[in-house]
Amino acid sequence: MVNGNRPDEPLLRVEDLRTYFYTRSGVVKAVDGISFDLHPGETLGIVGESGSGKSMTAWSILGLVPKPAGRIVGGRILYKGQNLLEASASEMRQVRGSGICMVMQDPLTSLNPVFTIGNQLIESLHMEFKGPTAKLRKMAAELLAKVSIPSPETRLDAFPHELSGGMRQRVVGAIAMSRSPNVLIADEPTTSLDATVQLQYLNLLKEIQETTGAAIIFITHDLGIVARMCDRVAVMYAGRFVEQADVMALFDSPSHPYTQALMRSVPDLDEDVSHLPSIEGQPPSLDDLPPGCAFAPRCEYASEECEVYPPSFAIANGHISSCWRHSGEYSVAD
Amino acid sequence: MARFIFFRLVQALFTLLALSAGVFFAVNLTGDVVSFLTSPQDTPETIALMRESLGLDRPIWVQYGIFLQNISHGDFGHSWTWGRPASELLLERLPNTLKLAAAGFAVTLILGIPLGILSAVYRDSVFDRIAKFLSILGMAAPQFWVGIMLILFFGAYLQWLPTFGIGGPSHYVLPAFSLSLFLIAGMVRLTRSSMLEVLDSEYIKFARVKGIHESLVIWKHALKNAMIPVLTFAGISLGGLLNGSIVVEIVFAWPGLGRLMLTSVTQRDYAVLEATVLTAGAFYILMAMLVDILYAYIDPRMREG
Amino acid sequence: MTAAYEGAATGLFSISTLLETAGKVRRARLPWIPIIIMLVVVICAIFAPLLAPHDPTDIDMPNRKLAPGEDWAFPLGTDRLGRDMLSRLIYGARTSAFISLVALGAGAVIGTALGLISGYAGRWVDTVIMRATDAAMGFPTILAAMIIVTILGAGIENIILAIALTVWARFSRMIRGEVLRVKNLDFVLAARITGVSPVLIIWRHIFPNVVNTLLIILTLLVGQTILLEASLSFLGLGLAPGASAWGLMVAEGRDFLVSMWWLALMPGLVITMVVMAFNFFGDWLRDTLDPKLRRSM
Repeated sequence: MVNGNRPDEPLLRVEDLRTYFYTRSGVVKAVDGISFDLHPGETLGIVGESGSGKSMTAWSILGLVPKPAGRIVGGRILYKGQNLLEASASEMRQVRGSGICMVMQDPLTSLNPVFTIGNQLIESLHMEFKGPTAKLRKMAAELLAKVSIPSPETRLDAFPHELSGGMRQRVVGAIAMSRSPNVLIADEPTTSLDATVQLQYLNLLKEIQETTGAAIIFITHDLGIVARMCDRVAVMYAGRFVEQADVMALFDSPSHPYTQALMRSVPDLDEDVSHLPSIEGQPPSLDDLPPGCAFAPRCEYASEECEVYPPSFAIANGHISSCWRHSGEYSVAD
Repeated sequence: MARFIFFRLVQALFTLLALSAGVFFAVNLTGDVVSFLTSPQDTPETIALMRESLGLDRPIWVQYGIFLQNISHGDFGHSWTWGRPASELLLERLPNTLKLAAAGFAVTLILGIPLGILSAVYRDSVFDRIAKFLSILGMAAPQFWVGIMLILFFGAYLQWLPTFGIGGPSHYVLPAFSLSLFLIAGMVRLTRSSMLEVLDSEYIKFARVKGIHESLVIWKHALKNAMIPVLTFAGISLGGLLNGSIVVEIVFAWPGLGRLMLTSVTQRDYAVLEATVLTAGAFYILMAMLVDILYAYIDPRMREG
Repeated sequence: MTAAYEGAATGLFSISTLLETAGKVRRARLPWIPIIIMLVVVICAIFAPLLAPHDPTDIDMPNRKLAPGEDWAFPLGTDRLGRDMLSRLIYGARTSAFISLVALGAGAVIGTALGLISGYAGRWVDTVIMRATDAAMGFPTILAAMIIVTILGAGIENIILAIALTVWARFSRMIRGEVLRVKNLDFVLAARITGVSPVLIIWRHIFPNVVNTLLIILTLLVGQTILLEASLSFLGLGLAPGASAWGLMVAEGRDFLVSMWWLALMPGLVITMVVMAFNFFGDWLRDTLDPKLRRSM
């Protein structure tokens, strides 16, 4: 397993996770063999284009894969040593919210429009802290204050549509953190926010992490956010991790052709560009994947051996990449 | 919220006024009441006298004014079919119709909503498929026929339930069911689709992510949102209840407003007709207003206007 | 709807609209049973004299009160006057089809016209028409039809008018919605800028884009119209006693419920099946052509 030099046991260990969807047009392999470790206080970024399977990884961890079409068909998800895939429904429910929680992309639709935000916040608190409503209300107000919502007491009685987008996302964050989960999954939480608000929100997440010691899985397509927020990064393509590394290592020496192409497509502010570089071709449709490396059709280095899916090669300590180009220099990672 | 209620009330009153005008002018401008009451042998003088006594020689606007004035005193005129004041007949029959309508409405809600919710939650199960088929059937079967078939089966063959007239609770069963079958079908369909849509939304996913028990997810988070369109339907269905009660009352010989209405139509008893139509219309308008208010209460986004 | 069909429509039915609709229908799986039932009704309505084994008004006392299957000359039995049930049912299709279609057609014309005007004109015209629509839509249909029949008198034309007047509101609301959606599209604005008269704009640009919705509403309403007509004939409003109309037949059968149960059962069963078929077809048509409408219907 790739975990660098960490002495402590991983909080969350995902081994060879596979989540497939069985549809009329075939089997969609949304997640096709993902493995990673997550340690307390660590921020792991999962980067990829839309449709690469990033969100489905999150839903798989939470055990909320849309049935009946979707199923987790293989692998293990070890949270604090327990395999979540073997947990009962009520055990999973206990893990959700207090152990692992998630913040989704659109804060307006994440909040139930017919209940006040206080109601929705207290609902979470109630599951963790039994007590009279008055006490929970106070706790809720304090939580809102912690996420910098002005006049928190009155805001408790507001409805979601009465708040601005930035405030809503902070409320969602407050709800997600209300039970101090050990793992927070953030699924593109800033995509629907204005640029100015984005920064505030990211800082808020960092603060929360510092105070609670939670681990964060940050799902995004934005390399800038990755650079700012993450300790380690996994690059995802067509349901698989093609590269995993510490964030500095990834930006210094991106090894997988896809990662390199991604880096290239972010224009440098200092340079004058006549056209924005993009990656040729289209991301593959997940129900019709080629047998070997899924990136081969778009890869400038593709050769015959790419018809077999490459193993993970150890580039450096804690840095792996799945590309046949490494076979000369590096050895296969365990 | 209070402002909203006030405005809706005012709107309702205006609509009621418009309705009364509509009924009055429709009835009085299209038929010569007197010719119906008199025979060819009557002399012109008798006819003129009759006209005068009924106030029909005055200009139509004045007649309308008198009409409104009379109504405000509860005087709808005299029924020549029964020989009694129309208001008396109204007061006698109206409660019966209301009782039947209430029973029908209750049945619709009690059977329709849970069936729809369960249909959505257990989507595509055997239960769901049966429910869907029954609701298509229910929306296609004519209410009068359903009533008659129920009479045949439960009344004549099995002899379990009474089949005519008003009485104890057992008298309500068949009529209420005939009345509401059509609405139950619609309610099940609507609740099901509304629920399915809601269950697909992001906030439901988030509720599950928070670790909330599935039954709370359905009965607290999903239900309130799913009920919003269902309420509108419930409001509309109140009009349908009134509609249906005309026919159902006839089938079951129920002494209510519906039968009164039919007779006044066939006998051209204008006093009774005006009385019943206005009452029915007022009932409908009132219900529509109540539904709007309830709607605004449940969905806070509606309160602004 | 795709750009191909929202591009400038130069004729009443532009080729691209038709092709797109045809394509969708071909690709979807046709609901055969409802279609067959609908065809049977139409065929019975048109060819009643050829199909019916007997004259429905033929009083045949020696053969009266026969149960279905007793005498295969009268496969579905006879009533107390010896009239053949099967023939009456077939002719009933004619009555129901005629009344429903004409009434629905009239209602559609009125409602669509009002919807087009309301949506296009806007402002107070829109408000007035919409308030009237709301009132008409909510008002109980049987009650309204009864009142109209009272005022206008009995007779088949008045029943048709009564139904038309209770049904138009369904059209005007939906059509208005579609008009609002379409009227701000570029090609309409272009036409307005170049000074094309409103009537022409409505006729050539807006109406073709609204036809789809119109068709869907029509099919969804046929079932309800048949039910309404059946209720009215059951109540004895407007048709001569002894006419072949399904609702009327149920009413007649009511007096002999136990002794001649088939008199009341069969017409009602027929009504139910026919309405089911039309409803099913209407739902399918809506889902195939424009699933977005599912919410609003």
